[in-house]
Amino acid sequence: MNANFVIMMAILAAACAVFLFSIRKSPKMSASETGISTRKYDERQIMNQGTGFKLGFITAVICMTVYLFTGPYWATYLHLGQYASIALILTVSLLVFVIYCIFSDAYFTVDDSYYKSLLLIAVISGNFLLSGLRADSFDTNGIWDFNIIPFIFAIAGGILFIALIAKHICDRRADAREAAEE
Amino acid sequence: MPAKQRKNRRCNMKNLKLKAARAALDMSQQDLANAVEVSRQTINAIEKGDYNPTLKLCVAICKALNKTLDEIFW
Repeated sequence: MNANFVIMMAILAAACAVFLFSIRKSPKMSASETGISTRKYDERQIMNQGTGFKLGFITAVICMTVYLFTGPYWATYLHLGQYASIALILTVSLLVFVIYCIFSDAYFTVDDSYYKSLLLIAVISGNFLLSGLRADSFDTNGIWDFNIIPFIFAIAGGILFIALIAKHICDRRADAREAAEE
Repeated sequence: MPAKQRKNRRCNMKNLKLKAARAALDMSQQDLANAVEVSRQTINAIEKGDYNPTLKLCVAICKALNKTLDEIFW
């Protein structure tokens, strides 16, 4: 176990702690029983998020199992290192969860702004892309590892952006169809 | 008609009473959603029969539309 691994694990643990704390404190996640709060998900959205979470978790478990048995081949054939592989698996499972939520109308809270979310995702993805481009080299001895992780996140952000736009277009068409029916 | 298709058709029965009650008050889906504090898509899903609301939401909808549970959801 080298020093880099310990630092990496410490950063990961700190990030998880911050994430869990932010979820616990987030007004979006706390359903108030008495007062009227518009910054919350309704019951159907919470139910769909549960299903999405299950799908994302199953995806992560399946990918991790595949990686457990075929890990060395990922480096040989896909040129992916250990860190990049784990980041890819986690990103894919998170994407499954988020995309399921988007397409089952469980991503935005009751009064979330669609365009603000699009802008936020674009900024974050652009930030990851720029930080990825700042690296001197993308591979180490022909293996894509630590430096490729920002690109994985940037691509994930791009996929999210496209999914949001696609869902918006689908919603517009459905609304127009319903208006015509009425 | 195959059994599975019949079952799906039964489950996805549209709630036309809700739609009619909403239209009678000249409310849009968004207006009703704002009144009961859910998303517009949830009201849409209830009207299309894609989602069965909880009793709490049913009561909130009935109060917003000045109807009884029997009139809308039975």
